[in-house]
Amino acid sequence: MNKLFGYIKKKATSAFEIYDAVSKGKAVDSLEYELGEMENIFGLLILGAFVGLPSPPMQITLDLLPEMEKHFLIMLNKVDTAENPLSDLLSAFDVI
Amino acid sequence: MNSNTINIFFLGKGGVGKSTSSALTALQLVNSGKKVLLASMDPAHNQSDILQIKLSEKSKEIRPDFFAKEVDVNYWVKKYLDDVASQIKHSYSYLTAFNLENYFDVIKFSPGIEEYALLTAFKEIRENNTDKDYIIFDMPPTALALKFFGLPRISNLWLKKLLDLREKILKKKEIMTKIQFGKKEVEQDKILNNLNIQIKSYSNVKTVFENEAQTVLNLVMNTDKLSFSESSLIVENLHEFNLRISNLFLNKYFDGFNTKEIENNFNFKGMQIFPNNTLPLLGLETLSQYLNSIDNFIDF
Repeated sequence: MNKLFGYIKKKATSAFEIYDAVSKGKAVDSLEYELGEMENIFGLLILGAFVGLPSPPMQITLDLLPEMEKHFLIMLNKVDTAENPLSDLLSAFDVI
Repeated sequence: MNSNTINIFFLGKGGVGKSTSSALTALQLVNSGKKVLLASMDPAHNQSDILQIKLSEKSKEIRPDFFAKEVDVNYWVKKYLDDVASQIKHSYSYLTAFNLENYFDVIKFSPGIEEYALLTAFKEIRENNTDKDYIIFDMPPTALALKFFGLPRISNLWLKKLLDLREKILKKKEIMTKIQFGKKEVEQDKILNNLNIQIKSYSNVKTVFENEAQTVLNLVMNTDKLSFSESSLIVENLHEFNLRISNLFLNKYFDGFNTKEIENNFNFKGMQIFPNNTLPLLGLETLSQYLNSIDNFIDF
């Protein structure tokens, strides 16, 4: 009996953990997208000179550049996929 | 930048006699027993010709307690870009750093790099010359000089906006980690640290510029109309950066010129008059003779 009870408890805990992880994942999905966009804006503001946008005085960009490899790569990738921004937005909200 | 050394800047329209006024002031201070460095910040250097001594980026003692140097802007631009490039090589993956190398050849021609190089030179000169009583900066003509003085303020305007956005991003990250892992994970953000370091550095320079006990701004002008109107422009622009001209150096003054209009329009602490000299003021000997012929000299 105890063995059965333990088995049920283990399964229930595991089911709850999966449910919890999925819920948390859903909860942060849109937040994560917003955060990603904010990071992109930050990257563009500082590294805009590299893709032809107005930017802060060059020395501010240059002083920050060593810390911004991730932003730099994202920005260059974004330039490549810039022709299809809608699909990027729709996929973030799971719209087919 | 907490030394007691006083910075004396000479500004003005091109050709009014900033370099000569700087050299005369330096010599006057050395003669009164002070230890002085005369630093030419104008990329079109004149000090070697005025002092008749070959100067370079390396400070040279041309008389006991009288040092002089000419700031090599290209050297400072190259040094700065090499530093950034080496940091990038250190922190980036090989391929990204390799791709960026091409940009660096072009960046040295970017607007703003020249005044930043001058500002870096200024900071280093101050740090390395704390043993001097005075450092005299012979500035480039108006446009570049104003950009130099405006740089700390403009940079901080940008940096504070960027800092604001960075803080919002980090706050959002904190919320996300709290939802995902049930607790806040406070990570050290290198970009935030970098922004704070830059703000602190510019604020320090701005404080030095604004502190009239540490920095004396002198405006050099001639008796002609053009020089007068450009001088008004300099005063107005510096006022926007919260900076005030202390003294006016009226160069190439001739007997009979009425200084009333200048006194009415500008509010300077002191006025130094340099009468027109028929012969060019070249060489330490000639400069000394000219100084002897002047009755009064402003106190700093």
